Amino acid sequence: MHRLIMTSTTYRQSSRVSAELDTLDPENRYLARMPMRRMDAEEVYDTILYVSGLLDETRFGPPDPVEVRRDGLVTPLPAPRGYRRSVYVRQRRSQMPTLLETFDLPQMNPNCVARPTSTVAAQALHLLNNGKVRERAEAFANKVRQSAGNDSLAQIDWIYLTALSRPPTQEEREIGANALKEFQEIWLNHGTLSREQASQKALAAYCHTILNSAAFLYID
Amino acid sequence: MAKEHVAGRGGCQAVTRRGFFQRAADGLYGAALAYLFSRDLFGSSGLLAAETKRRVYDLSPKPPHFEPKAKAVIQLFQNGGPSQVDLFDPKPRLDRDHGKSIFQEIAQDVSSPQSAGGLMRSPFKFKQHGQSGIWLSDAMPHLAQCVDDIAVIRSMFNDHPNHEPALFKIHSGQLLPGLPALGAWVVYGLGTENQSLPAYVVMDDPLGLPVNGVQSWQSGYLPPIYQGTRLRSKGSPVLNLHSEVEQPTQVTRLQRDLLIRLDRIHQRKRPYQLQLDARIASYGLAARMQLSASEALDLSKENKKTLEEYGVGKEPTDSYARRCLMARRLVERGVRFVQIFINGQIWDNHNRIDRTLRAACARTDQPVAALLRDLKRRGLLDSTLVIWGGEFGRLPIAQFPPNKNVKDAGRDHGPRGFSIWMAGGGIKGGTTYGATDDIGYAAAENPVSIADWHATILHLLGLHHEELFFERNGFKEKLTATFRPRVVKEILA
Repeated sequence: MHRLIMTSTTYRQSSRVSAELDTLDPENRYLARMPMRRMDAEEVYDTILYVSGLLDETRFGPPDPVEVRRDGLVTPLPAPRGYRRSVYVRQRRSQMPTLLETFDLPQMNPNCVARPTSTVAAQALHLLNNGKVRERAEAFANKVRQSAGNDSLAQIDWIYLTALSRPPTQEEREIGANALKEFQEIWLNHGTLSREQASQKALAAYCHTILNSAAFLYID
Repeated sequence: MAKEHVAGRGGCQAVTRRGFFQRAADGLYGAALAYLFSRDLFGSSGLLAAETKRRVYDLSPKPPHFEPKAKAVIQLFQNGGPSQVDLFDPKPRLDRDHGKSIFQEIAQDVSSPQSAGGLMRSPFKFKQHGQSGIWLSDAMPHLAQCVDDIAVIRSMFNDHPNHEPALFKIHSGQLLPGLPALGAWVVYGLGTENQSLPAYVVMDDPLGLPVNGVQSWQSGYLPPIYQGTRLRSKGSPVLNLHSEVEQPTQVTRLQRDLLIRLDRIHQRKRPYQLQLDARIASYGLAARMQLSASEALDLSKENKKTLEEYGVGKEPTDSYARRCLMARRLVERGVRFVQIFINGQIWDNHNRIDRTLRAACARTDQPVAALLRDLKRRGLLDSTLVIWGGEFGRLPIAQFPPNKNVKDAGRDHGPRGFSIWMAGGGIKGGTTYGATDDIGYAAAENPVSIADWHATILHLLGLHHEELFFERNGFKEKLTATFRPRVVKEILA
């Protein structure tokens, strides 16, 4: 059955919408294309951990605790070897991890027959400003440095392959290289950082931007 | 404002500088075309409707169809089904015939026959208030002081006795899930005045979501930028509003520019994906909210007298009072639609109605009255429509717990007749409209359907319910669907 579905023409379609498809099937009710979708809450959480190399893949056992901040932000705490997937985080109705809740993890008390996907500013704010996401971007940058070395083009290629599962286009590569250079210059002019520290900060800012990008969050 | 008859959502209005750059930068969906045609040309031409079917969906202010009475809405939604015969709609016959069985007459609406008793008198005392003499029970002593500003409709009815479908109906016009909420329609039609705050704000209760959860404020088939944005009323209203990591502002700016560039490239290769438009818009809003949301929601800016009037800082009003006060601050800043919810089912008084209904009122009555007075003092009530009500009412008969003790009795859901009230922008204060039958069971005189009510709200905002549509599968989808609603002119100023 799975083979039948997965080898079908319908299943293997691209998600691109042409003017014609848009006229004939604007809402994709007839499956004229693969539906583009945003990553689900757990996918966003897990993927950021995975990409940044902080994911502890240990399975089972008691759930990992969460920390509730005074302002109401709920953040999972790390397990001994890192952070585990969201499915292993303690789920308490009154203490849903904020990132999961913001990205539409359903409430626990009522039945959920279909997950809604919202697109709201709170999601952008979380990924842009949250300290944990920043931390993960820095870890991602360190991993890039270890794996791809100091050459910025090699770093960009590696980042795209890891986070987006594809190489960058020439345009994206150039934009990335320029951005890295500019980030580094700002940090150098800003204070007392060494060239190396500045370049690491630059790389983290770039990685953080990629984790915020539509290309990262939307699957098509 | 010139009277305009516009296809769809108000057509194209004068292009602001921001609007122009947004459109020029998008370069999609005939944006250039939208710019080239002037407002006048657009306004009257049916020909253009087809060409503009696919347009840039945004939240810039749109001209209404005609001169509006209200510019903003605060909906105080009382989920659960507040009991009309204990709050707004006194029925002397319930006193006279207390205990008399009418089960045969209303059997179709009794969901739990095993617990159904006879007619039950209200444990609350009714009195007329204000110059208008509007009847209210003693459960709402604060609202009693504002009755001359409100119009009570006593003849509302819903089509289903269960919360979920009834809520879908009142929020989105039909008994089904998945359709756009009233607030989504309003911001789709009118956009919003303040581009730095969400157009449609939802403040749910920190104690829990209403039945149907976030589906209550969804955008359905309307583009996702029109769905409600939840703000929190406990702790920080917006989490992660500011970066937790310090970095030079140039880095932040460059990151933002880089993100916009990469997203535009991504979007350029994926035309017609409304999700991506919405996502890019949400990042823009997030950036602007960082500058203005803290100020808008900071209740420490309010003086002590105001806080006390609303009931901030004391129980049981604190939580609801905060939301009401935030609603005023948001409307003051040009937010179009603010919706306040209370946690699940405080108005669902199946038992001990004397206590449970009084408790619900104790949490909400003072803040609601303070909101009305505050809006009025600031001259905002004229342009702000305040609406209060739930998804249905309750039956006039008793619902008994297993012990059959009348003191512990409540009332079961009653969809055929219930009361709501409206105040402010365009509403004739001191009005009572419509009536239920002599036991308060069903709307009997001048019944107002939910479609009528929706059409009336749209009307006050300068929108015609037939003209506010979204084309889908060759069909003009509307909030009022294929119903033939009537604007309730009798309650308009």
